[in-house]
Amino acid sequence: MFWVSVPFGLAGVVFGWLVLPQTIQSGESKQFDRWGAVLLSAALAALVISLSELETWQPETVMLTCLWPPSCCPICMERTLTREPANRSQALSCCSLPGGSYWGKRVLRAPLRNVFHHVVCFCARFSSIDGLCRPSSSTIPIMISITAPISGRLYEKFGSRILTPVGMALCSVAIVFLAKRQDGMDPGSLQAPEHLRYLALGLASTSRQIMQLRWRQLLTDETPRPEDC
Amino acid sequence: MHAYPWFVVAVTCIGAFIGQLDARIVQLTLPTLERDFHATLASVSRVVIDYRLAYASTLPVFARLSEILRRKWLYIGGFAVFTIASFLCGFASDLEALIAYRLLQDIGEGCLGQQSHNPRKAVEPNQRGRAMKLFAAAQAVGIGSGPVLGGVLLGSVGW
Repeated sequence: MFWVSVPFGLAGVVFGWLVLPQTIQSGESKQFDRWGAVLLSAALAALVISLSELETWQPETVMLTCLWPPSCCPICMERTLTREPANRSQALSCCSLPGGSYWGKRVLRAPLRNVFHHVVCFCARFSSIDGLCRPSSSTIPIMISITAPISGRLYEKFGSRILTPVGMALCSVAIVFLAKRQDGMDPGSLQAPEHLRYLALGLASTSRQIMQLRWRQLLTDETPRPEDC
Repeated sequence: MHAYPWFVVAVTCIGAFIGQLDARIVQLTLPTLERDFHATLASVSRVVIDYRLAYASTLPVFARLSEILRRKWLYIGGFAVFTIASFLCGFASDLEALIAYRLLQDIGEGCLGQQSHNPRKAVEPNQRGRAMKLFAAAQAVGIGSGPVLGGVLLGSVGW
């Protein structure tokens, strides 16, 4: 089954070699921030582990794992302050959020838009009786498939100023749906009825797709636009 | 601007498609892996989790490397690593080997992921919406077809 990717991968190698243009090397510094790469990779890995093991690990373990990324901040800050201003944008662990840095305005803001979608998916998982059941979870790819072809057009027509609040509003509505309890359930339980789970996941997936183009653009634009500032 | 911008978009769509396909296709195999390797569900779920782990932790590094090195070769290298790792996954004799190959596979996908802005840069500014639409559609096809294809292949040829 894993071999299903092999022909596509080979096609990617061949066509990539034939088709992709050679990139022009810019005059920017080619210095690679090795320590920044180590810190950032470890912090991201710790974050993913803590999120994925949240259900099974002991609270102490989760807390320790979650403390790891913030513990990097003083190191990152020190490195940022001691680095030459001209090279700060090259630092992977740069924390100079004020002043319109690449990391502050783009890398940190862009995933925040995507987090909304995942928050709803996690809520759906915790609010279902026996985990996120397969019919509910299939709503996510279905809605993404439906929305993806029109998301580019929507983005061109309405722009991010409208689509981002709309996407966030859809996620908020989804969370409200998930907060509804089934009849007869304990007041403290978070077990949403099946049809509301479907609806919430559908809304969250739609929201993810219409906000996706914007956060992708935030990460890739060479020059910030006025609306980013 | 490249002479054949839509070919560039098509190549990046392949990368977007296989990344999502491979992330989704494996989810149905967990009970089978649990049985074949005589492992717990928590152990075999690392096949999925470690895949995301490697992607999350390597993506920013590859993004910076793509600014320093030649993007084209980094991207092709990503395809090559991903393909080799996918091939090796089929030969994994134990769970640890499978997880190691999956990690390698996702390091390859990290190389592919940092190039996800290529469709926008390849085409004229007024065509960027269409390029991103195709890119998003390729991802969506991967997301949607992964579980279906996984179910069909699991039922017919196994993992």
